[in-house]
Amino acid sequence: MKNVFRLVLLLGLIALGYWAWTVMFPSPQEVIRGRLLKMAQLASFPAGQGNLSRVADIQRLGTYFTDEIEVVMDVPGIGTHTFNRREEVTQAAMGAKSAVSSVKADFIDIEIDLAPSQQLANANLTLRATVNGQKDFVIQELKFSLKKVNGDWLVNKIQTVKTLK
Amino acid sequence: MDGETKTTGASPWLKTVVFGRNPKRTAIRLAILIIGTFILFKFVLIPIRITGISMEPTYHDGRVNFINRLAYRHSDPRRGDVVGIRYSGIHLMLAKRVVGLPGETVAFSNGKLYINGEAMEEPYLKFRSSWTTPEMKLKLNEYFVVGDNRSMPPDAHEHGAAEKKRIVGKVLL
Repeated sequence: MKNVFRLVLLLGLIALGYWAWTVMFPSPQEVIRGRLLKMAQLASFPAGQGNLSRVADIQRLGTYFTDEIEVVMDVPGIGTHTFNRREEVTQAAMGAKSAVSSVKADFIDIEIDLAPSQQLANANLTLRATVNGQKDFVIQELKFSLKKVNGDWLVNKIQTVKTLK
Repeated sequence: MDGETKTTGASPWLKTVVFGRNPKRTAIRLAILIIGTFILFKFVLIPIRITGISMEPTYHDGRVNFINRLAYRHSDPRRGDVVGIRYSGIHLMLAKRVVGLPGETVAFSNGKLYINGEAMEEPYLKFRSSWTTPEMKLKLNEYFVVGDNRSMPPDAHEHGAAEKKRIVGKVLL
């Protein structure tokens, strides 16, 4: 019984050590995942949020993009739209925010593919959004292309992915 | 006093009911049950909740079901199967019916499904449909999937060719 207790304690210590290591030295995948989740948080806003707060969130969201970001949206029933450069993307985001009263966005199943150079990465994920508190979700698969700029992972391209062709 | 046992706290019958006659064996059984349940529902049968009306009346909004991940381990999806199709992962999936197989040509005309130009019977359809779509030739790794509720406009109903690698498994119930 004593040995079993020692073994359990040892396994617990190893798990704790591993957890502490991953917290202190996160992998690039974890850093990217964290930034994407933060972006989803910044893109969300509750009903009744003040304009200043909305603008501040959009501006913070803009800091997650490279200057030359490209967003290509091809949504059935809406058509294809392309936005280039950070200013245009943030303006479009501002327009979208003013058109609806609330958005709750979640990025689910984030799959990250890191290039061997460790300077480029692709992230495939599923956006699940609730707009204006409606029961039905908006679901869209997205591909994010990221690159490391001055130590930060910035989004260089966002494009919709067709789950069914 | 030798051989006499004293009990304190919970009564012996309650202990027997909760822990069994042999607590060590009960603990092992419990561990096997927990691990077995975890493996079953993580890797074999994925629990899902249907949301939306695209599979009405076969599957209603809010109904709980399972995706059998082993269904296509030794065989391919067949026409009429209801399958789970993943987006970027398996935490969100589409539940759709396979109507077109790899290499086939699929089209809808006045609500009728045509495979390679031949009209197909679909006994699971209960609502009238007026869909008309152009012909689509499937690649050798693609299946045409669509919901059972085609009373919805085609634009509001997700359907089309799904790559085989996106099919997670077969809806169980």
